[in-house]
Amino acid sequence: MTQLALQHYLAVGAILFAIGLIGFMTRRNLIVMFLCTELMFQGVAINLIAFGRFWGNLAGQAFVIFVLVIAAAEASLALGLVVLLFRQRNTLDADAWRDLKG
Amino acid sequence: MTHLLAAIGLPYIPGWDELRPFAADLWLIVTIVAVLITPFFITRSNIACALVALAGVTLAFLSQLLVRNSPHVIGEHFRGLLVMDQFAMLWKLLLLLFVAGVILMWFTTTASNMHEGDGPEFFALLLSATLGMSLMASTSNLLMLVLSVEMASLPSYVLAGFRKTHRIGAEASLKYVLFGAVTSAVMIYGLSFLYGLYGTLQVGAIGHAMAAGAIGVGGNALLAVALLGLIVGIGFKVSAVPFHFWCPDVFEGASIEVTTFLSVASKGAALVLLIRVLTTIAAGLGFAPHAGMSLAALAGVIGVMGAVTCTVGNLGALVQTNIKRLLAYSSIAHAGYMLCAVSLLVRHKATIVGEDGNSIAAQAILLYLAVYLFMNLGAFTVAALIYRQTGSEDITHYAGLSRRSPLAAACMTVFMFSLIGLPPFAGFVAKFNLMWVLGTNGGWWWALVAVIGLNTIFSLYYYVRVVKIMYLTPSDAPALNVNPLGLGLAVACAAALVLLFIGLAPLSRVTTNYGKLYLTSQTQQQPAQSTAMITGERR
Amino acid sequence: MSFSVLAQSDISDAANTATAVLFYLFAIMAGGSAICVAVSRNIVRTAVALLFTLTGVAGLYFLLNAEFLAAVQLVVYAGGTLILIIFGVMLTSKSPFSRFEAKLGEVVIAMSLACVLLFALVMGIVRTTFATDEFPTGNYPIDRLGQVLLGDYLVPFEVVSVLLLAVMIGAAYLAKGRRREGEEGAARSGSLSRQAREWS
Repeated sequence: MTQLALQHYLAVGAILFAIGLIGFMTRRNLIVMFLCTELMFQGVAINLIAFGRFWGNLAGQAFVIFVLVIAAAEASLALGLVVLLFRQRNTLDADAWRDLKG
Repeated sequence: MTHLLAAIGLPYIPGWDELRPFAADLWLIVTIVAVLITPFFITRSNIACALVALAGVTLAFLSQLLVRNSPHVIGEHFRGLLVMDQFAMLWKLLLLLFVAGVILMWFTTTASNMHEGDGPEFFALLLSATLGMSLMASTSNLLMLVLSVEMASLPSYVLAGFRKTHRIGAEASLKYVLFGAVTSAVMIYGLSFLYGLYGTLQVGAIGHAMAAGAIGVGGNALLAVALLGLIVGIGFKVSAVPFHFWCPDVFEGASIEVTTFLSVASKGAALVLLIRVLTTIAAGLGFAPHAGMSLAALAGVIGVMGAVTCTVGNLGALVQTNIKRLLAYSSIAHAGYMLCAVSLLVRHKATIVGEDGNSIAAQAILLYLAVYLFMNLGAFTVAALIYRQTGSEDITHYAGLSRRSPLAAACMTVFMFSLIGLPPFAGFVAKFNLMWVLGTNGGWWWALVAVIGLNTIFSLYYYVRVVKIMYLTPSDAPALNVNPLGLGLAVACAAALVLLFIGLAPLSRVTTNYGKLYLTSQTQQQPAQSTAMITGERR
Repeated sequence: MSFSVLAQSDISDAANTATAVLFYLFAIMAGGSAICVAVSRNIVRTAVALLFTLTGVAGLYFLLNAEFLAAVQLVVYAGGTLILIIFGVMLTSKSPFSRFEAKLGEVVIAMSLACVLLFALVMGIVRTTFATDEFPTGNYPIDRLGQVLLGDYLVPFEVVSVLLLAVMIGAAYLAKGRRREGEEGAARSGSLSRQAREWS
């Protein structure tokens, strides 16, 4: 039956990445926007591991370890800021914070 | 024990020869730790931390100066992950000089307001961002690229929101984190295709692999995605249009020395990284047109981006009345000028000869950054001094400054004229050099010269408006007694701008000498990652 | 185009089929719950959907012979980062499951843009002729990965430790409360801040 090739994995990565991007652009809840960036990072990680397997070297896996660290670090900073802002304003609606002129 | 060691192989311990070129970065790490433990020994910790940080940055600067002529400094290090060359060295020196200036500025602005006990955090974050920006100049590997960009970004996010109670500080910071996370995800996604198409993370090896084999129609599409991702990620850091929207908000919300730091260091580091990566790839391709990888198209994209960026920056600045927002838009415009110069570098062959030939575009950007550093540091220092006295960042409150504080007004005038690019200040040298370089390459770069010229006329309006308010608008406000250290810093910057104009020839000689990039040659085999190859069997 | 390393064709076929079934299972699990993350109006449900995405992706790692990373994904991501996120959700959702959503026009624009992007990506991926479509045989034992991390990638390993130190300092700074400023904030913006201070 179906034979799996590199392309299958890349397609899954692309789909996760695109869903994350759609979610980021369409949602206005800050935590959801943030979770969508995590989805994008998952798509990236699948890509890297599939390519690493494809080329037969460990560079892809090593890269993913660092990507995990970076994603976790960004998560902690973003959530720290979300909590800080929520204390100030009591809402998570991105549109409510329009003091900034953009 | 020996049996076990034999089984797992000897550990990789980098020797002094490899560590020495990065003495400045090592000093920065030591200083981060020193700053963090300072409050355990000294009670007034904010000032003490600032002094420790200043001492560390000075030591890093001196050590970088000392090792610059040592043997084995130029070249690839740490199994090809980092590269050191004259270009990276000069950027590190400029960066450290600038950070020392920012710390001095902190003494005159925030030192007395900062909550006691926040000092260690502030300086540890400032120095770790500096470390990231310093490493950005040396990356020759996609993994190091990502890590150094994040190393520069993540502390910057916190620094941008450091004034937690400020009306828009934390909000601007959150916006910065969210969009920063998305753009870095896009960038890493792009880089994963670069790895996937060529099977290596070494930028030099990727360039050679591009020259070696065609990758078909779909492969070219993926290569375009890869380069687009890189441009999005770096463009966000440079605040190139259309990724510039964070810049004015973050600059307004952050405290003024953070704004100063981000306006020069963050953008400069991103530009330096862009030059490093693109030149390395272009050198792999021999600066020649190649099937599927059109360097001319890449140069075109960057050139157009630069032209649009400087136009948007200048037009945005026209309506600003807050000095920090005005300088934010001005910094977008200046980043645009420098991006225009980057467009040269990815195409032109004659400027880069051999293993470590001079790159005229790298020279133009280093010269620009060297001058821009003093202009922005000085302009923000004067703005901070006035803010300390009047509590206002609005330029209408600068009325009558020529009477209230003649020296500050004179310095600000120097900075404004220099930012426009008028002689007899060094801003003229930087801008003229950049336009000259673009013009001498002819072709469509003349259009960029025209755009920069036109933008200079736009920018006249808002820079001169500040000067006009200071000198011509009457005001009966009382005289300001500005902080003498801050005034000294501003005067020093103004003097530097005049001196750099007089010392035009030595300055351009330095940047030409240091505009050299270390590029791996075609024949050289990639040394790194040979050990990473898996042959199939468990050893 | 064989995925398996086994020589006999019938066993190879069976293994292929099993791998393919698992692949589609994990892929649908990851993709389906990803859609859930992006569209669900309930923030707790969103976080739980992300858990399933992470698990599905970990399954794909297993199929790609990256067992160590699959385990890391489950332990660190699903077990650690997600818990962090759920804490964030709990700290901030006082009036739970609030709905603030974008206008329809924005949604349509974003959807069409991203669909074009996805189409271009998938077309690019499908039409690319990589050096070979077959995966090379081989596994990635943990000791090799460890040697690579502390050998070839020693510098990133050290740099990331400094990065984590900086992020730890930064996150602690952002999250730490300060009594004096809290009172100022309450005086400034009235009852809202006072409420916030009470439960925080």
